[in-house]
Amino acid sequence: MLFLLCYNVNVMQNIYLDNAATTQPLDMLEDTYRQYAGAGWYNPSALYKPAVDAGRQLKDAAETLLSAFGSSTHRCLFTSGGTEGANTVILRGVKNKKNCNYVCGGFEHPCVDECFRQLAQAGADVRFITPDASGMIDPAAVLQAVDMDTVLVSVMHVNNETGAINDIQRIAAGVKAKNPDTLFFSDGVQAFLREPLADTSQIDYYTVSAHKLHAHKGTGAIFYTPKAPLKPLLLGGGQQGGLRSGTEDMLGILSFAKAAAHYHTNAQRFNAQIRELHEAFLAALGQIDGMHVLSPQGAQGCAHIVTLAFEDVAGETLLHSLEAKGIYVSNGAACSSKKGKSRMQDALRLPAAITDGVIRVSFSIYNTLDDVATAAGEIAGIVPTLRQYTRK
Amino acid sequence: MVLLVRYGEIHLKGLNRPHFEMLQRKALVRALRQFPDAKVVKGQGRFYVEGLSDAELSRAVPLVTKIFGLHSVSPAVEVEIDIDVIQEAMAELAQSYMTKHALASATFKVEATRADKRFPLNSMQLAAQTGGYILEHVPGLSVDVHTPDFRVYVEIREKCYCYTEIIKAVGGMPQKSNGRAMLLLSGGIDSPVAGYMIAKRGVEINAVHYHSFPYTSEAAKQKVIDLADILSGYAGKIWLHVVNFTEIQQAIHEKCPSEMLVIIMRRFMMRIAQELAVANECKAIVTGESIGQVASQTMDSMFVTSEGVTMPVFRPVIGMDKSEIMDIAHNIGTYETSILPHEDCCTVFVPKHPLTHPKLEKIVRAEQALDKEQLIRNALDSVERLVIG
Repeated sequence: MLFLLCYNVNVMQNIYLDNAATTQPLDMLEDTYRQYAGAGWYNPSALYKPAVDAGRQLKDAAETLLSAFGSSTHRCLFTSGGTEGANTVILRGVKNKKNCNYVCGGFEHPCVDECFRQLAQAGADVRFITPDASGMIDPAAVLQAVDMDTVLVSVMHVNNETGAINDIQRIAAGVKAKNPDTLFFSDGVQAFLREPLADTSQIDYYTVSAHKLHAHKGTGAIFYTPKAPLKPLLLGGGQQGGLRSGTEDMLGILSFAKAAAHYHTNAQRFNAQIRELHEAFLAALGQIDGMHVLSPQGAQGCAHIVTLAFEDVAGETLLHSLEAKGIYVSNGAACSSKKGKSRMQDALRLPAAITDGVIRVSFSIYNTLDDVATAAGEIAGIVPTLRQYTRK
Repeated sequence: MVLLVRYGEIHLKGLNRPHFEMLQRKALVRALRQFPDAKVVKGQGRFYVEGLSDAELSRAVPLVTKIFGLHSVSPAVEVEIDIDVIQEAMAELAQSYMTKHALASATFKVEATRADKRFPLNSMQLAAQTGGYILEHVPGLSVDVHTPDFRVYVEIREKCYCYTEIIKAVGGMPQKSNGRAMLLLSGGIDSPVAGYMIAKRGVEINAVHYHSFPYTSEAAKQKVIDLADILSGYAGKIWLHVVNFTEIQQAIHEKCPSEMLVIIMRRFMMRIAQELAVANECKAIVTGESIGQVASQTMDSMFVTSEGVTMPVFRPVIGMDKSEIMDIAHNIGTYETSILPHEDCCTVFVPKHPLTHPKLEKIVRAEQALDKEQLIRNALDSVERLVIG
């Protein structure tokens, strides 16, 4: 009954391990907030000097982000986040041709998946590529699906539920070799600045989100090549060259650029630090009976995500038991955790006995080795207790 | 304009009628608290709400028609008892009705009531006189006394009231006029409807919710708070008692046969509800059970769950089909919240094949493995008491 006693105990600690859902904004952004409130709040489309200054700041922010992405040739379109980015690219990017087809990873984020499902419903030929049990997409399978009528290929960079890294450079290069007219899109929301890209030239569209990188919710961007077609999803005042109407979210964009620049400068150190947390966490967990590590290990898995499954334990109950100790994790991506059936079970073809007991632990630069050791210790303690009460 | 508010059954009351009227007035004042200038004035068999602007009036109508105990409301023009003034006001009302409904031509009828018999014209004469005036002064109208497109009403009372609309209210009895009951409120569709129906008869609601953290989430608890909040829009302030039920469920799971889990759990819920009811001066327990809906709602099951308590258990939706209950949930605005997918304590630990025809003796025997009194005491110690609305 140990964990019962904790129900009413005041939460002393606050260990946030759900950084794939969102991240704490950087302290240094406070300067940006002050500058914005002081002189940065003008409408960047207006014609007087302070507004023109704001417009210049936007341009600088775009350059900062593109340089963090590793491109001097892409363009940057600011959006409200990953979902708008994916919707714009998929629904308003490629031109629909007669008898064309689409190729899409089988375990994409819902903001990608739902767009393709809508296209399929409308009669388009959409080819979903089955991932392996860790959520990874086999480049060869993608290439096999691509033919002369393929207009768009979409494979996410890092999977948000398992942390599996897709080799999108290789996939993009292969796709272009097979059909130079095919466009390649990658959802980079979990990967941006966490997984380096040596060559971005073959990636026609890449979408990112600010709040996954210690800036704000409500801001994101599409990086796209000048040749990649793009039409607006939102119509109106014609901001951003008519591609995305709506007054630009100055504060969100400047904060995003600042956070990205900071992360970019320190990327190696930060990512090494997070990798260390990842390994320390798994080491501290040790061997627990009936535990499965669903995330790919080593170079194939992104450092900030560890997805675990415990047989005979309900993921949500484990989540709440940890919550009672002030430790916050997810039972699968927050975007899909409120829906009934597990997408994971469907896409990864894992038995329910495993997918029912999933939690996703995700780290950031704000976590310490103590945090992960504490979390691992609590998990190891709680799991056997919960198993005593498994549904008969 | 004033809002004319008619009440329902309470005009049938005898010597205790002032008490009901006082409660009805209280509920009315409470529902109108967002309008600081609103004044509730008691009339004969009705209330008048004065001091509202036209814009406020149209916002007030949906609030007032939700109040239990009321029959109907009418936004009315209040004028001096003077036939010239009256007929002019009525012609204006008829004209604005035509304008509002974009009618070029229509049929109408005047309905007159004369409560103040000192007025020289009787109802028939008053109707004829004012009807003739309207006919002359509003173009496009003709009279139809059997099936008119609309009616213009005139009432001679303390003053004269003219109106064209009678908007039905929900009926029932005034809030808190019929004692207090303890509602078992889950996050589902049925129990908020049961609460609504019992509150409609003027019963004050206390509610108990069984929470199974960590098997259920804070979000599940918030959902119940939201449901209680919607309910309080009808029932008035609700005390919600949140009981931590986890220890009891675990104990049953450990010590009793799994197929009996649900039925024993329900018996604990009833027992705890009764304890809370007594402590909060409630005189009955209310549940959202409907015969045969699930295993714990067969006649046999309900017999066994009720056996552990001595207080009356009321089940307002007992004879309804699920679809009928869902219709009410839609109407009262709880449905959308009820269907949010959070685990509730009834779905945790549920065995694959729960008993549908439990035998009381067997259940009582199985319960002997548990320290019932201690478990109930612990649960009662865990109660979190929230005031909603």
